[in-house]
Amino acid sequence: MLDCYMSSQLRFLLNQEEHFIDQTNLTNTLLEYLREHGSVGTKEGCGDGDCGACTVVIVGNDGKGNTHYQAMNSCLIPLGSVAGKSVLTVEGIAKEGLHPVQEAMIKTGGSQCGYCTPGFIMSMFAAYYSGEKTDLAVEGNLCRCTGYLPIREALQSLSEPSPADPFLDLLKQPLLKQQESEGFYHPETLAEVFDLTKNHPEAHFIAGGTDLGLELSNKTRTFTDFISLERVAELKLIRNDSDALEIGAGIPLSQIETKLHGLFPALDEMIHWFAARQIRNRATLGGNLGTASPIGDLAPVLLALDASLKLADASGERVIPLATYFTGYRQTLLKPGELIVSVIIPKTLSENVSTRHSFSYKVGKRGTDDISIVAAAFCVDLDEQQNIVKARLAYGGVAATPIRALELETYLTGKPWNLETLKEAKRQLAETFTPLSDFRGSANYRNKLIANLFEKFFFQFSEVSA
Amino acid sequence: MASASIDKPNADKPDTKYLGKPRKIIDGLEKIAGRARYVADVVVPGLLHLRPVLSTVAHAKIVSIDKSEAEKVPGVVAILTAADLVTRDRTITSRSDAILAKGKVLFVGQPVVAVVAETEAAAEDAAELVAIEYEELPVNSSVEAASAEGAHVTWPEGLPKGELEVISHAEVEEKEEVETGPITNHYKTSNFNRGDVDAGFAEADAIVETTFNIASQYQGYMETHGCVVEPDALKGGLTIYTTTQAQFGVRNKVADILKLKRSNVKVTAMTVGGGFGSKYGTIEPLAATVAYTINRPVKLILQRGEDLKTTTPAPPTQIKLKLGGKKDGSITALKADIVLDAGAFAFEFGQLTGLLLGSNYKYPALDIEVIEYITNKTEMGAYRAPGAYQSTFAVESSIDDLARKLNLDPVEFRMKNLSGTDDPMANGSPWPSLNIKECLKQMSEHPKWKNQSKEEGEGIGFAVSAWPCALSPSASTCRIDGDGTVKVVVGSTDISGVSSSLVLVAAEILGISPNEVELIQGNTDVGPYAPGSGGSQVTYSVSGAVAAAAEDVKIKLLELAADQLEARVEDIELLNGAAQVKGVPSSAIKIGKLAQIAESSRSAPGPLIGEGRSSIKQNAPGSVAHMVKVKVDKDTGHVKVLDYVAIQDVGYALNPMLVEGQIHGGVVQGIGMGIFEAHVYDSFGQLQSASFMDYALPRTVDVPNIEAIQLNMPSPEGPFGARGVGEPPITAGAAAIGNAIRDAVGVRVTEMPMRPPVVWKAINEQS
Repeated sequence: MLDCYMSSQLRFLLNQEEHFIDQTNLTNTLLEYLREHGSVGTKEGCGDGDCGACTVVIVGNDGKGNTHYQAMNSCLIPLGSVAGKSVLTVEGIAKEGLHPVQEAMIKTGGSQCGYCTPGFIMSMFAAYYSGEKTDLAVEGNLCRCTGYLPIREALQSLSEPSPADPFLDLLKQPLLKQQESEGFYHPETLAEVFDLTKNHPEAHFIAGGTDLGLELSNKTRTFTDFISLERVAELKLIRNDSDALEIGAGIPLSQIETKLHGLFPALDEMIHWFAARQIRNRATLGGNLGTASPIGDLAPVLLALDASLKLADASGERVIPLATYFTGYRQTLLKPGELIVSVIIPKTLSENVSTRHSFSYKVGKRGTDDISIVAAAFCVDLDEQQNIVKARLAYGGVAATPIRALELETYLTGKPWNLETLKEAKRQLAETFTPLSDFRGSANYRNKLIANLFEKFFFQFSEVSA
Repeated sequence: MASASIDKPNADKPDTKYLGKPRKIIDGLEKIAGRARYVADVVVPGLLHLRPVLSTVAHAKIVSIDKSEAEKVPGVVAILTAADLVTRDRTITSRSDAILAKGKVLFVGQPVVAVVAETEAAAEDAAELVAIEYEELPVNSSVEAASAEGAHVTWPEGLPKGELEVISHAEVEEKEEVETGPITNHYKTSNFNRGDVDAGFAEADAIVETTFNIASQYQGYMETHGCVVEPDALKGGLTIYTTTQAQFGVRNKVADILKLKRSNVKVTAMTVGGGFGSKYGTIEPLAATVAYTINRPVKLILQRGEDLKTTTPAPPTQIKLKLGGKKDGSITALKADIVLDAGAFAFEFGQLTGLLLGSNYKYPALDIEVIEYITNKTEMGAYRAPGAYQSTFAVESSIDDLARKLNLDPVEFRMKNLSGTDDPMANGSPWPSLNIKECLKQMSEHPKWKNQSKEEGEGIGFAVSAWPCALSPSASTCRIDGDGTVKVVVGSTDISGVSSSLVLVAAEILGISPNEVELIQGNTDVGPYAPGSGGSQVTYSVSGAVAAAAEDVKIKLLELAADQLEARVEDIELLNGAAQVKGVPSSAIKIGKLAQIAESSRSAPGPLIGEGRSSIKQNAPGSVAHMVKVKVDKDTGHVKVLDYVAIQDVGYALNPMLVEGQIHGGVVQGIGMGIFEAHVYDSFGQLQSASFMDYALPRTVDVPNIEAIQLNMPSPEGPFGARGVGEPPITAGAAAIGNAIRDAVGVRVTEMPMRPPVVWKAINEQS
C-alpha cells in the first residue's frame, strides 16, 4: 500500500490488528463496523447505550498518565472517534485457551441464552485488570436469563492477573500514531479547534458522544463534519487549588469519579447515580451541560455548588455563573462555535461559615442509570450558631431547565438550621415550581419530592432525628 | 450465593451417574467466546435488507403512500405496500395476517410499508423517505375508552381471530361463549362459576374488596425479533432462519399464510437470545411474504424501538377482587372481575388468567368473569407464565389482607385453604400432583421467616403460586457413530439450556459420558416434531422422547454386543462407553466399535439408530413459595429488595444447575415486573416506554441475594419425575414484594409495577 494513501486514512487497532477506516464510514458506529467486518460476537441489543450487549474494551488513559482498559458501548461510538485507538472485542481476548473471565463465567453458569454474554465478558475483562469486583463493574450490562447471580459470582471469583498475562503487556505498547482526516477532525489545542471552526462552520463538536451517538446509532440525523474534542489538551486539565476546583470539560465522568472522589460529596453521589459505567467512561461534564437537558443530573449539583463555566470561542474566553447559563428548554448562553472549556467549583467559604453540608439525590423508576423523575442537590453553609449563612437548593426535572429555588434561598439566609425552618422551607417548596406530569411521575408527586428530598437532606445533616 | 436441594421423604429418586447432577451448559463455550450464531449473524448469497415502515399513529385511514423519494435512494430494490404482496387478497383477521396494513392502521408500530435494499443503511434511509398520509380516526388507548358508550369500533366488519398459540402454553378447557348483537370493541367474555357466592359472602366474618391495576409489561429478551428468509428455487418454498421458541409453529404459520405446503417451508431456529413468551412468529410472516413476493432473500432484524412497538407484550390487566373468610380460617367465597386490554388483535390468555386466578385455593364458591376489549395498541401476548403473575398479585395481596383482617396467621390461613392434588381448579378439573402447601411449609420453617429481623422501613412478605405447565407429544432419534459419539436429534429449540439436560438423559441410559453426547437441534425438515419452548414444557415433554430413543438404540446395541460376545442379551451391560458381559471388563467392546461393525459388516444389522416418542397425558404443575425482604423510603416511595428466598417444587431436576438458573432468572424478572417495568401508552396511543431507558429492567445492582431451594417431589408421569420449571419462579415475586411493602409501611399497593410514585401515593393516601 502506498504511503500517501495510508497516511490520509484513519487507522485503529482491532484485536491488535491494524484496520483502516474508509472515509465514507466515519459516522458509522464502531458496532456497525465490527459486525460488518466479521466480529459478530459483539451484539446489538438496543442501539441506545442502555443494555451493554455491544460492550467492547478500548485502551484509554486513566487521567494519571497510565493506560488502562475501559468498557464502552460500541453502538454509541462513531468510527471517527476510534482513530488511533486500540479496541478489543470478545474475539480477541482468548489467547491461549479461554481468558480467565471466560473461564469464570463458564464455571458459574453465567451464560444462558448467551446474547448478553460477550458484553458482560468485556465489562468483566476491563474490571479484571482494574481489580474491581463489585456489581458496578457490570451495572451497564443487562441480562434477562440468569438473574445476574452467577455473573456476580464469576466476577467475585476472579483473582489477580498473573505477571505474564499478555494483556498487561499490551497496555504498555505505544498507541498508534494519530492521523488527521477530512470530515472527522482531531485537533489537539483550542487554537486548532477554532481554526477548524472557521473553515468548517457547519461542523459539530463531539466529545464522548453519548448523546450525539444516539442520533448516529438511530440514524435520526445526518452530519457533515465532526470536530472531536477528545484530544484537546485544554479540555483535559484539572486544577485543584485551595480556592477552587477547575475540571476540564472534556474529562470523562469516570475519571472525575476516581480522581476527584471525596472533594464534593454531592458530586460523588450524583456521579454514582449517573448512567452506567460504559457511559461514564465516555460522557463528559461539558457534554452533559452542553446538551442542556432539563433533567441533566449533574447540573443541579453544580448549581448547588455555585459553579461557573469557562467558555471559549475564536474571539477569546469568558467565565459565566452556571446559574445564568440555562436560558430555556435546551437553550443556553453558548454562542455558535463556542464551547465549554471547564467547570469551576469554588472551595472557599465565607468567613463566618463553620460547616458546609452538601449532598445530592435522584429519584427515578429504577434509581441509577435512569432518567430522573426529580434530581436534587443542596448546599447549606452554617455558622457556629447553626444559622444558615447561605443555602443553595437546585433541582432537575421540575422546570424547563435545571433550576434553583432562589426566593427560598434568600428567605433561608440567617435562619436557624432547625425543624421550624425546615417546615417553612417545605411549605414554600411546595409552591416554588410548577413541574409537568408525564409517564415518569405526576406534577403532584414531583412537587412532593421537591420538598421531601430537602427534608431528607435536613435529617441527614442535622442533629435532629426524623 | 446460598442454594439448596431438598429431597422430600418418599421421593423415589433414581440412582444416577449423570442425571440430577449439576452440569454446565453444553454450548456455554461458544457463547462465552462470542461464537454462538444468532440470526443477525446469518448471511446468505444475494441477501437484501428489509426495513419496515411502522405506523406513527394509533388509528387512521391510510390516504396515500408516496414512495417516489424513497425509490431514488441508491441501492433500493423494492418498496412494497400491502397491494404489492402476494397476500394482497387476504383479509386481515389476526396479527400474523396483518403482514402490511391495508387501508387502515390499528396501532402505533404496525408495519405499513416494506423497504428492501442492498444494504441496511440504504433500506433505512429509504424507509425514512416513504411518505404516508393518514386520516386519523378516534383512538381507544385504554379499556375505558374502548368500552365507553359510542366508542369508535376498531373492527366494524368482524372481530379478529385467535392464533391457537395458547395450546403451546397451557392446556385450558375451552368454554366458548357465542357473541350476539352488534359488534363493539368487546372481544370476549369467559366465566368460571361454582357454588353460591352471595351466600358465601353473607356468612363471611370479613371481606376484602380491592381493585388491582397491572401495567402492560414487555418481555425484554436481549435479542430482538429477526429472521432471514431465503426463497427455495427447487421446491418453490422458503427457508427461514429465525429466533423463535417454536420453529414448527413458525413453519405452519408462514406456510398457511402463503398457501404453501408446510413441508416446503423449512425453519431453522438459530441460537435464540431469549423469548419469554414473545417469540412465536410475529415478524416471520412479513419477511417471508416479502421474500416470496420478490423472490429474493431478505433479512429483517428489528431495532429495539421497533421491537418495543410492534411485538406482543403482556396485557394491561385490571382485577377487581372480592374475598370473604371466616374467623375459623376458612375462605367462603371469591368474586373476581378481570378486564384485559387485548390490544388491536386477539389476546390468547384471558381465559387462562381467570382459570389461574381461581385455582390455587379451595374456594367453596367462586364467580370469575374475564372480559377482553380491543384497543389501539399492539397485540398483547404471553410473558412467562401469562396470567399467573397478574392473578397471583391480586390473590396473594387479598389473602394477606384478609388474614390480617381476620387476625389470622398468614401462613396458617393459607395452609388451611390451599389447593392440593385432586382439588378442583376454577373450571372444576382436578389439579394433578400439586405441592404449593409443601413449598409454603418449607418457607415457614426457614430461619429468615421464623427469626425475622427488620429495621426501620423494612418489611418481610411472601406469596405462593403455581403454574400448571403444558405438555405436548414429541419425538427424537438417537444414533451411535463409529467414533463412539452419540447423536441425539430433537426438533425443539434450546432457549435456556434445555439441550444440556437432554444430553444427560441419553448419557445416563447409554452409560456414556455426557461429553460424548451431541444434541442436534434439527430444523423442521430434519428434527422430529416438538412443541414450542414455552409453557414450561420442553424438558418435560421432550426428555421422555429422548429417553425412549436412547432405550431403543440401547436394545440394538445390546443385541449386537451379545452377538459379538456370544452371550445372552440379558447378560450384557453398558458401562463407560462400552458394552461388556456383566462383571467381565476384559470383554468390553467400545460402542463406537460396535457402531463400526453395525455399519460395515456384510451381515451386520445396519447402523445403530433408535427412535423414541413421548406423549404424556398429565400435566406436572410447579409450585412456589417466595419470601422477600424490602426497604421502603417513605419520602420518595422508592423500594429496594434486600433479600429473597425462592422455594420451588421442581419434581426432579434433570440438571440442578440449569433449574437453579431458571429460578434465579425468574425471580429477577419477577422483581422487575414488581417494581420497575411498565409498558406505557399515552392517550393518543403513542408508546412512552420505547427504549430501555424508559422501559427500566433490573440490573445487577438491583438484585439481592437470592436463596433458591429446590424441592424434589417427583411428578407421577413426568420423565424421572420432572416437572415444568421455567414459569413457576416468575409467578409470585411481585405479590411477595407487595406483601413485604405492606409489612414495612402498613399500606397496600394495588398497582404494579410498584414504582416510587405509586408507593408514595399509597403511603400518603392510606396512612
